[in-house]
This record gives sequence, C-alpha cells and structure tokens, in this order.
Amino acid sequence: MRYFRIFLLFFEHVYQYRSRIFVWFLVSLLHPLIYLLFWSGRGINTTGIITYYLFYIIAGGFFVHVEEDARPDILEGQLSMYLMKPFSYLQLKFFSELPWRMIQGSMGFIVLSFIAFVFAVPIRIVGLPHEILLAIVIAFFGYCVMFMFKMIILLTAFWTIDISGFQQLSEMIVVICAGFIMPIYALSEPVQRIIYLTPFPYMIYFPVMAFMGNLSSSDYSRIFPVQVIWLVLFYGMYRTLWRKGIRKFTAVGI
Amino acid sequence: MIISIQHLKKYYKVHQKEPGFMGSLRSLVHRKYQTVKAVDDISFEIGEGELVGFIGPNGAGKTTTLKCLSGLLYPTSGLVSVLGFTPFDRKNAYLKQIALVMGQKNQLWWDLPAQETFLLNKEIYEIGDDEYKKTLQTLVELLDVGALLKIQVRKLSLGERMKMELIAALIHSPKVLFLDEPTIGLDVVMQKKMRDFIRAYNELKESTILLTSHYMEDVRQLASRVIIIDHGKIIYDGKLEALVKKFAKHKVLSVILDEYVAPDKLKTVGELVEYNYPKAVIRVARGASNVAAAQLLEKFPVDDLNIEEPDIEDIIRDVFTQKK
Repeated sequence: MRYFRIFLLFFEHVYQYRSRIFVWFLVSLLHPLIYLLFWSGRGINTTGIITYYLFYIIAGGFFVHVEEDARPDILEGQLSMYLMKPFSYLQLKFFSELPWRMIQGSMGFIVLSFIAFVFAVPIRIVGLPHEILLAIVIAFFGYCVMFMFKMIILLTAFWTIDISGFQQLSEMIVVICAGFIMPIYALSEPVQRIIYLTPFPYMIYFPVMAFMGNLSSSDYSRIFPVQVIWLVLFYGMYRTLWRKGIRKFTAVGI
Repeated sequence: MIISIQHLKKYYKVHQKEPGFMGSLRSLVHRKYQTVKAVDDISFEIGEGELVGFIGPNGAGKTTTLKCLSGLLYPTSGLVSVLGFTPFDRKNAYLKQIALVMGQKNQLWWDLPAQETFLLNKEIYEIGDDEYKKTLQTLVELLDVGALLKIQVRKLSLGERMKMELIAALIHSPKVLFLDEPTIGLDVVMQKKMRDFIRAYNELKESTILLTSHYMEDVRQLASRVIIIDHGKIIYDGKLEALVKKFAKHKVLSVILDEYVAPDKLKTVGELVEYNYPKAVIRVARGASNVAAAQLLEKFPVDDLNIEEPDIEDIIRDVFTQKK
C-alpha cells in the first residue's frame, strides 16, 4: 500500500507537466508514423506491417528515459537528496518514471484506437484472455529489462560524469535492435541471430509481437526465461556499479 | 555521545589542468592529479541535545565533515559514529533519525505545493497519520506558514521556500540535525526567524544539532559551543566565550571625548582603529587595557569610556589570517 501511495504521488506530479507530456508523445508518435509512411510508399502496407507500427506508437510511450531525467542527480550532486532517504534510489526512480510511461503509452493506445476505428484500418491483435495476460506479462518484464538497462547507463556517470554521448549511443542501438525502424523478422538471418543475442528485442520487439498474436507457446517459453535472465544480470550489474560508484560520489555541488 | 568522530580523514584526488589549449591537449593524454586533504585527522564528540556551531572559511572542510556524518561520503579513514550507526552504511533505521538541510539545495517538488512533498516524505519515512498531522501542525505553527501550504513551491519567496524545506526535512522528527548554511541568501528579518525556529526546535525536540554558517550572528545566537575548522584541521573546540579569551590578543577601548583631541595624541595610547569625534576606538594589548584606560582618563577630556572585548568575527578572522 505504501508503494502504491508513493506511486500515486509521482503520478500526481507528472500531471503538472501537460505540455511536456504532449510534446514527448508527439515525438514518440512521429517516428512510427514516418516509418509506416515510408513502407506504405514502397507498397508494403499489409495488415501486419500497419499493426506493427501502430503498436510501436504505444511502445514509444513506454520507452524509458530515466537516465535523461536523472542525469543531474550524479552530475550536479542531486543524488544526495535521495541518499538521505530511507528508500531505495532504484525504487524511487522506478516509481517516478512509470507514471510518465503509463500516461504516454495510454495516449498511444488512444491514437491507435482512433486510427483503427475512424480510418477503419485493419488491426491484428490477440483476443484470448490468456494471450492478453501473457502479452502483458512479457511487456512488463520487457519494460523492467529496459529500465534496468537505462539505470546502468545512468550509473556510468559516477565514472564518466557526462553520460550524454553514452546515452545517445545506447539509444540508437536500442532503436535499431528493438525493432523501432523495421521489424527484426524483416532483417537478414545472420543479423537476426546477432540481435536475438542482445537484450534489446526482449524490451519492446517481443512484447509487440505478443500483442500482435505472432508468438507461439514455444516462443513464450523461450522469451520469458531470457527476459528473467537479462533482468537478473542487469540487476547484478546495477548493484555492483552502485556499490562501487557510491564510494566515488563526492556530492559535488552541495 | 550522539556524534563521535575519531581521526576522520577525507582526501580527494583532484584533476589539475594546465591553462590554455595546449594544457587541454596534454590533459587529454596525460592527466595530473593532486590529493586535496578536505578533512585531515579531526576528532570531536557531541552529546545529546547539544547545539554546536561548526565554523570555518570556504573550503575549510565543514561541508565535507557534514557529508561524512550524514553518510553521503565514504571517509578515507577514521571512525564516524552517529546514534551508534556508521553513517555510510546508510541503514534505514539511521536515515529515519537524521536530517541534512542544505541552504543551497532543495528537495521540494517545484511545481506542486510543498505539502505534496511532505506527503511523499510521510510515506518514505513511514510516519503514521496522527504523528504526521501533529508534527506538521507543530512545524507550521513554529514557522508560521499555514497560509503557504497550498501554494506551488515555485511561487514562494526564497525565505518561504527555506521554511518549507525545513518542514520537509523535519517531518520525521529527526534526533540529529545537520544544518549546512540554513540562512544563506536570506534577508536579516528572515535570518532571525530561522534562528528563532532552530532554537525553539532544539529546545522542543531536544534534538542534537550541528550547524555551519558563514554568519557569525547565527553561531553567536544559537551555539554555546563552537568547533572551528581550517584547512581540514580543527583549531578550536570549546565555549564561544573561551574562544575570545584564547585568541583575542587585544581589547578595545571605546571613548567619548568632551573636546577634540588630535589623532596623533590618541595614538600614543594604542592603535587608533576609528575616530569620528567625539567617538574614538583604540585597540590595546589585552594585558595593558587597564593602564591604557587610566592613561586616557588622566591625559584627555574623556566623557565616557568602555573597555570591550573585540568582535567575535574579528577574532575569528584574525585566527584564520594567522593560520595562513
């Protein structure tokens, strides 16, 4: 209940920034629409590809940006404020980031529904309750994997101070390997095999595939354990970096 | 003892960059580092309910010491204990009993009324509803901010924001309070209100307070004991009055003259610090103040004479200057 109340307070906080919510939503909306228009222009406008990019409008809303917001914490010493609280920094960042993503993801859902109904665009989506539940579970774990990955990027600031280059690089890799530009299945076999070895498709691509109903039971039994492994691995990395980094922290700026 | 520091050292490795473009190029390939001794082997203890002033010039090591005490910094060596805890372990049980207030940093949500931050802290510190209401009411009354609770933080003045920061920091009723420049940037009226509040809070909650400030008035009004730190070392720890006796080598004779006397004649008594007829201020050696006073009364048309201790700020300035 305590965690829920903290989450609600952060939710309330997010609502103070209406224009920021809207502008960032436009950013996450434009990318998939541009790619959709590009592929349509080349005559590739199957139901699958349309649904794929419309789902990526929602996925864009759930794209974690925690490292961007939290950058001043280490750079300018704001972390001191969190370290003085009897509450984990990781949890506080999780609760402060989640409302942003939920609101922007919901806006993506509204846009998807609007396009589907008003323009009568055919959408391919899972319909069975257990499939929806599985897709939600995979999406939640995908979100957590992405969140932990971004937190690790953030913690590198203990050593590098300015993480903007690192952040941009990781963002580009995620955009490509998480299927934002084109579906991974459309890439060549060797490239697919390499990408599947990375954590990135497990963040967004597979959840989108799950909601599109493109995953079989065997896919689920393979994807879910891999997500858990990445999550455990990232959490371990996070703990190690935190332990070492916090000793280097000089609380600059206070 | 509530706070105990034994041989605390905190050294930083600081990158030294040579000036200019070539310096930048060189630092790209080979960086030079220098070790800065921010805190260098200091020890002190503070008992329950004490309000201690921790003073020193910029870069003396005050804030570094506070950071070590509050668990933000890992000491290079030495032992630090607060309420029986090692601060850097940052155990929740420890963090729930302390607070660090920094005059130049804030924890309040900028775009929401301050009471939303208080509510967040209520959940974070796991404060019960009744206790929260009671503490909030006490703090709001002490600081007289009832009318400001529903106003966005960004709309508050600096002084009002500082009051709200104090409430946010004290909502969990900490037993130990580290105040780092709590009155910085405030006008004299607000500074006085802050001082009144800190004194009242110390008496009401019997909390242990370590206060750093650049304003001697803060220390003079609030702390009976002062710790002076300079270049990372403690140079004085004791009563404020004893500081005067220890470091003040002079006394000040404040004279009101009946008739004008040439400044050169007054200089025969001691160092003429100020002369705006009829008032003259003369600095004399501490042991010679009685003789100098007698000399003044005998030789000059004196209407009034006072022998005073020098200003505390002057003494401390002298101490720091001598150290350099």
